[in-house]
Amino acid sequence: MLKEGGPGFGHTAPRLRETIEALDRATGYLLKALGSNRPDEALAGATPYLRLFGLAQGGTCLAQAALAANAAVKDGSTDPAHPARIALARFFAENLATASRGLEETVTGGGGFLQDGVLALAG
Amino acid sequence: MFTMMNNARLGVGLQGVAIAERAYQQALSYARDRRQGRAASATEGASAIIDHPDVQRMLLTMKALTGASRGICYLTAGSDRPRPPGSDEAARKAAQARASLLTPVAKAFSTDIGIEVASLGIQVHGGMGFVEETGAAQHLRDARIAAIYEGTNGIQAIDLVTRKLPLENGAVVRGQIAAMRLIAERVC
Repeated sequence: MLKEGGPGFGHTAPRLRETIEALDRATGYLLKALGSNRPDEALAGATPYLRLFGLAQGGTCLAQAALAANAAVKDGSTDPAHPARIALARFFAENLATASRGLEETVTGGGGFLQDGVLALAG
Repeated sequence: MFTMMNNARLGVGLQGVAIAERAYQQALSYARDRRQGRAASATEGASAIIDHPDVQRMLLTMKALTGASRGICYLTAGSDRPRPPGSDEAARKAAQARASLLTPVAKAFSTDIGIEVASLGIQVHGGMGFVEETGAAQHLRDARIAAIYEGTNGIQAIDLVTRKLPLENGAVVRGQIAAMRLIAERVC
């Protein structure tokens, strides 16, 4: 596959791929929990999973816009909106999507509160 | 009934995007005018607060979250649009399934970021954001309900995980993740 980009994309590619793979692993965990009759485990991770999904899908949408902007620049466009789109996708990937690994851990390993979390609410 | 409900959820998601956008535009304008402190790169006088890295970070966070959620909402809307008679049935069903999967994300993610972005907008304004004079606080009040009505964001998350992930034994969500990978693979 022909790859597109340039220095303006910074670390967009690896950060975005890490985010998507974190989503994939979290998805697998939840599907397994649902299929193994452990619905509470799936429910415990639902909200952080939705956030992770938004980061992956949103980051992908921004990257797609950045790729279109890159193509326009290569075609000779001098519209400042194009480098702006590339910079925005980069910022998202390098600064916001980086939460994805933590969210994956929360989804797959944060359900312990179902057993004794209420103890923390007593005092 | 579900067509109406999904349309309403998407509409509320777009409210989150819209409030975030106006909070961002206002904060950007304020940051360009307001002068306070001296940026590290400046040699004299008070700098516009947009020259400070932390303010840049806040504004970029606002713009990036708004753009990302706008993309999710548009993707959802494009998947859910009516198709003319005679359209490929398989493609129509696949698009509907994608819209079903993305609708709770469009609603909950976009309204959550609407609140976050409006709150950052107040922060950019400083004390002037907390009082009523600039209108920055009104954006947060406007955004706050959107995470609650039309199905709270907790309900959207339950819908996503328990109803949408198992669609076609996981094939719909795996297909969407594969589509994300295709785009990510093009970036170098």
